[in-house]
Amino acid sequence: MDLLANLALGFSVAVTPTNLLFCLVGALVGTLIGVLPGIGPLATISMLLPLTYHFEPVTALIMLAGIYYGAQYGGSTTAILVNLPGETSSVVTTLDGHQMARQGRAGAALAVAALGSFFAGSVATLFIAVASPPLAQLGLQFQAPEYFALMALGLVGAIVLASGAIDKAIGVTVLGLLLGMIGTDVNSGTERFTFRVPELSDGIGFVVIAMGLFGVADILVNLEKAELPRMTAFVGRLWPSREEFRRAAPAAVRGTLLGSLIGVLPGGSAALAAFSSYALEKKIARNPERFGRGAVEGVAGPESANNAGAQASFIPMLTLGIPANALMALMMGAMQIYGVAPSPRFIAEQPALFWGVISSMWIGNLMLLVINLPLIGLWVQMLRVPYRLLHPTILLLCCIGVYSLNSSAMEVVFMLAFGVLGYLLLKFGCEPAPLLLGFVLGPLMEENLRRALLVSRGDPWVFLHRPISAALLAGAALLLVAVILPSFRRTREQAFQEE
Amino acid sequence: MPRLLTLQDVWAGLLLAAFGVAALVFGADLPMGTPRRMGPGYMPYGLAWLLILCGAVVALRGVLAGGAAIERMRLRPFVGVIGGGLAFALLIGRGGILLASAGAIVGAALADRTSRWHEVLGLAALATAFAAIVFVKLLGLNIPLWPS
Repeated sequence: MDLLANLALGFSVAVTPTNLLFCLVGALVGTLIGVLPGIGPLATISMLLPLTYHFEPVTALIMLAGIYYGAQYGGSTTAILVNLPGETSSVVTTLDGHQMARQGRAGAALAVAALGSFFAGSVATLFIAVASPPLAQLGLQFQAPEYFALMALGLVGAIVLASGAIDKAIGVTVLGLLLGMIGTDVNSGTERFTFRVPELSDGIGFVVIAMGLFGVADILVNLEKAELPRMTAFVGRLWPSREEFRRAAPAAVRGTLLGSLIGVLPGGSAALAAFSSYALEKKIARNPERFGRGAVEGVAGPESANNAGAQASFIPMLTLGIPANALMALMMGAMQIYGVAPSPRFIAEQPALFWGVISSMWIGNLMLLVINLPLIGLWVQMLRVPYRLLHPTILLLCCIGVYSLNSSAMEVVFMLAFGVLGYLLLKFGCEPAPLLLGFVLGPLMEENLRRALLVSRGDPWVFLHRPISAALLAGAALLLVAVILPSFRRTREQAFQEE
Repeated sequence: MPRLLTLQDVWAGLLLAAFGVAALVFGADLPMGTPRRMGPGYMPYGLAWLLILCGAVVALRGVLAGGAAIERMRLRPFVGVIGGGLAFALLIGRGGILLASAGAIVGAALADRTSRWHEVLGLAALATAFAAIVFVKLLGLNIPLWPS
């Protein structure tokens, strides 16, 4: 069977000592930043990118992926013990997880979260392995109009699923697209918006934007908040009771399926998967009033869903070259730097890389399960590190990271400028994440639009004459219309109000 | 302050629209081309107007519907963090990684009211040593250690 042979190839790549080591490093770093509120996987991956330039691409990707799913494990620890979300994707875990902790069941909640995450991670790994090759096959038939339509759908999806007002999300995305125009136009060689600054002639580096928006801006916002009291709960017995297990297992299965599906959607993310799973569990529960008072399903479902969603969101990026969310845009940018840009031909051309990364995800999940529970004491200690020691370190790592790209002090200044922009956006109630997605997709969309119109001799109907692109654009239009309809808008607002 | 100027949406709209206007102004001399042969100005022009439209809708919604007010902004974190970053950018070329790193750490520490000076000194010593060892010695980045 192809699948087995492919996975065998993948595991042979993933179990080399170097790759195992960096899988572990990624998983541990991910858990650490997952535990710490105020620093997320977006900032961490952008900070660590410069360190990975000297690695083999497969090793670098294994580590970066480990940070992402490791953060999903770590986030639940803080949510359960301290009632603070370590990550946005574990916001809903605070609702029932911390209630369980207050009832002396913290250990059980942590174990349920870890076991659920591991189950979800294993299923999602298999899901990627099964779903990716056919999707890549489909992608091989795509030409410029289909690509343009797919990216449009991706952006609309990200806009619809972003939290906050729709018009702001559209605006931030368009701003990202526009910023992507800065630099030398590949077609004509004309410099656009470069103001004769040499650092701008190749465009702004996406690492510069990512570190500014997610590293520096987060520091600025966090420093304005009063330091929250961090009380840690008593962990208690780790093993869930039989009754808890009976309730948690089906919820974990449902969360895994839901998370995998949402992860693949354009705009889908770990956080959205967790929110949806919580809403689902509450809806189908026989007595929903238990939720918010320590219902174990409210931990098992979302924690499985966020891990499944985190991993499944790799599918569209790896098979079609379309990132579904800001984090995947970051991963895609990293791959472009390593010279292994993802596309439908990626699996066929780089089988060792693709299957190696996929297999490492399962290994990483296993490592997380084994290491995490015994190390909970250590993670709790990490929570005692005050933010006043963390933020100077984060700022320094951002500065050195950006400077190490091109030895350009100017780019450090650009990063600070994006920090200010991100801070203002957050202050004005706009989520900055879609900006990065737009920024990465902007030049690609322009290129495909240009090609599509060149082939069709300037006829814009080309997008509707081709069935796949017409279907994708219709999907995008439907999504946009649906959001403007009041009934859908109410559901969307409710979905985000669980916090 | 007039109430309108405290609203998140009004400012968000203005910020977005300002970028759109800037793109129109600074992109005015980019050739537009035709749909069949898109010039370098085609996409930026369209995006700029779309951005202005979005900004206008957001701002107008803010004016009509009100909505959330901007939470208080504080100067100290802003000055400290951005100042620390700028110190790094200014020092890294001539001053070397040790001075530049210390500048970033101290600047960022000044941003936080709760910083304690002995902790800051310890952190600065640790972090600069870490930066020098990892980035200059191990990764071999071409950054001088000391002022040249």
